[in-house]
Amino acid sequence: MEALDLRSLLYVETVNSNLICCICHTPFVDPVVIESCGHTFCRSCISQAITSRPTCPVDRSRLSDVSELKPASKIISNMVNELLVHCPNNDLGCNYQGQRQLLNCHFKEGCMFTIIECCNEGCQEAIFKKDLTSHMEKCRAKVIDHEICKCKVQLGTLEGHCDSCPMKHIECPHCCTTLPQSAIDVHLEECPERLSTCLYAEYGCSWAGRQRDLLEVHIPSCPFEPLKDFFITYKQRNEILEQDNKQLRTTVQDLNKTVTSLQNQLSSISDWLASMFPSHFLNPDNTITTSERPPPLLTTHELLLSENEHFKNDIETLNVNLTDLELRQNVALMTESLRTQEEIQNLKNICHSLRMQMYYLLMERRGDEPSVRNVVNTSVARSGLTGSLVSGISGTNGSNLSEADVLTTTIRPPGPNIPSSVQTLRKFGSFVPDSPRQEKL
Amino acid sequence: MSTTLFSKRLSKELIDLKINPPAGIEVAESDTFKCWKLSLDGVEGTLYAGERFTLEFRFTPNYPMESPEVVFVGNIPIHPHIYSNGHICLNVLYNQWSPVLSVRSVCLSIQSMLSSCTTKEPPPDNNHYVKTAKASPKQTQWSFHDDSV
Ligand SMILES: [Zn+2]
Ligand SMILES: [Zn+2]
Ligand SMILES: [Zn+2]
Ligand SMILES: [Zn+2]
Ligand SMILES: [Zn+2]
Ligand SMILES: [Zn+2]
Ligand SMILES: [Zn+2]
Repeated sequence: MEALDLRSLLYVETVNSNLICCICHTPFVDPVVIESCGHTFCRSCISQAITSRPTCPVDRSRLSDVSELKPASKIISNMVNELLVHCPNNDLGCNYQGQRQLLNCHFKEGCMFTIIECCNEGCQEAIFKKDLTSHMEKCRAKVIDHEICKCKVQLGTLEGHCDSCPMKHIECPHCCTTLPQSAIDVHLEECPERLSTCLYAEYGCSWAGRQRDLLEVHIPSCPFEPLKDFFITYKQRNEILEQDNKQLRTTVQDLNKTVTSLQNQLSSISDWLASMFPSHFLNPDNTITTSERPPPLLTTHELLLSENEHFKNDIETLNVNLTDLELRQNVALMTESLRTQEEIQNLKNICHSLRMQMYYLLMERRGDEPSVRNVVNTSVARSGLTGSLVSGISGTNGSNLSEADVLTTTIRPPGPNIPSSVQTLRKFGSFVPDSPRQEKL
Repeated sequence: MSTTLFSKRLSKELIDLKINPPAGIEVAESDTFKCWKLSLDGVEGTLYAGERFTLEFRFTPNYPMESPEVVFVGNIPIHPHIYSNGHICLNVLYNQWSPVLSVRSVCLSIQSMLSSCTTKEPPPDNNHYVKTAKASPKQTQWSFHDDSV
């Protein structure tokens, strides 16, 4: 039973605030007073508080030692001890109210609402103290004496015990005498009224009758009785044979196992051989079952022949492919060279046009020197390339000049505003698509 | 022993705060004995009239021997002793704590600290403090220059 915690008590009336500890906010428990300042606290509250800070919690005056705590005056402790409180088992149903100092006595001994455990072994039921007597009467773990056998039985198992109690009396079904349960098995074996068969029933005697008649009446007249000794030897032999039979069976089983393992070994060896000499074991099933299998040499020959055939076919296909590829290559080459020729022709045309342009310019300069020189000078200033062009053109031969002459007159008649040679070049570039050769395509 | 004192004392305080709440103070959240939230209204006729703030109390099992951790959360009042992270510079929360103090008395001290304020301005070292302070104000080394407020 746990100790009573006076701090969690429920007080019957509102307690005067002077009796309340200002640390735990409950009426003082074991009040002590700080001698120097006169403040009162519960002993446990103030001792806990001064371990973290050695001052009076109310006025912060220093407290050098626990010895400065003195028990509060008798009147204060009497007042708190006489406060009326409810029993802590109030919520369980105890209506006790009394002085706090008497509560411990009530709680420990008098309170009927304290929860206790049944002390009978194997019960441990939690019950109110007030219910203990009524529980004890019906506790299933209570030990009682069985009236018949006088043995100790738990109340809860009494019913089961009555059925199996060794002193329970049972009537013999054959002779109608009643016997205790413990003796009935022995009696059933030897009950004289029991129905029984002949001792030699297993050898063929069909006699059936009461036990008491068996030995006295039947056995002396039983036709199997004289053969008793023969039966014994016969039975012994039979047993020996059975034993032998059992041993033989196990031997056969062992042999079977050996055969299986040998078969496994054989197949793994033949597998290995097949992987080593594939030509000899092309078809392992056939080699075993068919007797007229062709000699291995012939098979190899045929194989080589068929492989040869394969190669031939492959070469033929390759040849066809090669011809095809050649053809395609030729066509591609032709188209490509045609295009290149055209390109060259175009470039030639441009060259002609340029040449004749230059020629035209030179001609004009000869006729009207000052104005044309101006134009050429500016163009030279603009690009060095033009300069080299001009010098190149000036050194061309006579036949080219005459050819250019004809073309100039047809393509471009002379005009008053001649653009700079750079512009001319650009213009000729744009002429190219219009050339007669391209139109033909 | 101390855990029973802790929970019994806090449940008594809670009942007391709910039955007999001080003016402008109300328990807003008290699901556990670890953390409570209380709302605090600015007193009429002061700079904080009409404003409502929330105080967060965190208790250790050593309460009331050890002080609770008290900070403002949410709307933080602008006050020379209250930092913008909610930490409150008030000696009874730190070195001047005493087990006879309670949630109620702490709330009343903070309320009166707000009421006596004459200019709404943050503490002069607010920016530096907020940058360097730990999460709990109890880890700060406080020095209290002005005990009157
Ligand atoms: Zn004191
Ligand atoms: Zn106390
Ligand atoms: Zn009671
Ligand atoms: Zn029981
Ligand atoms: Zn019995
Ligand atoms: Zn019988
Ligand atoms: Zn017989």
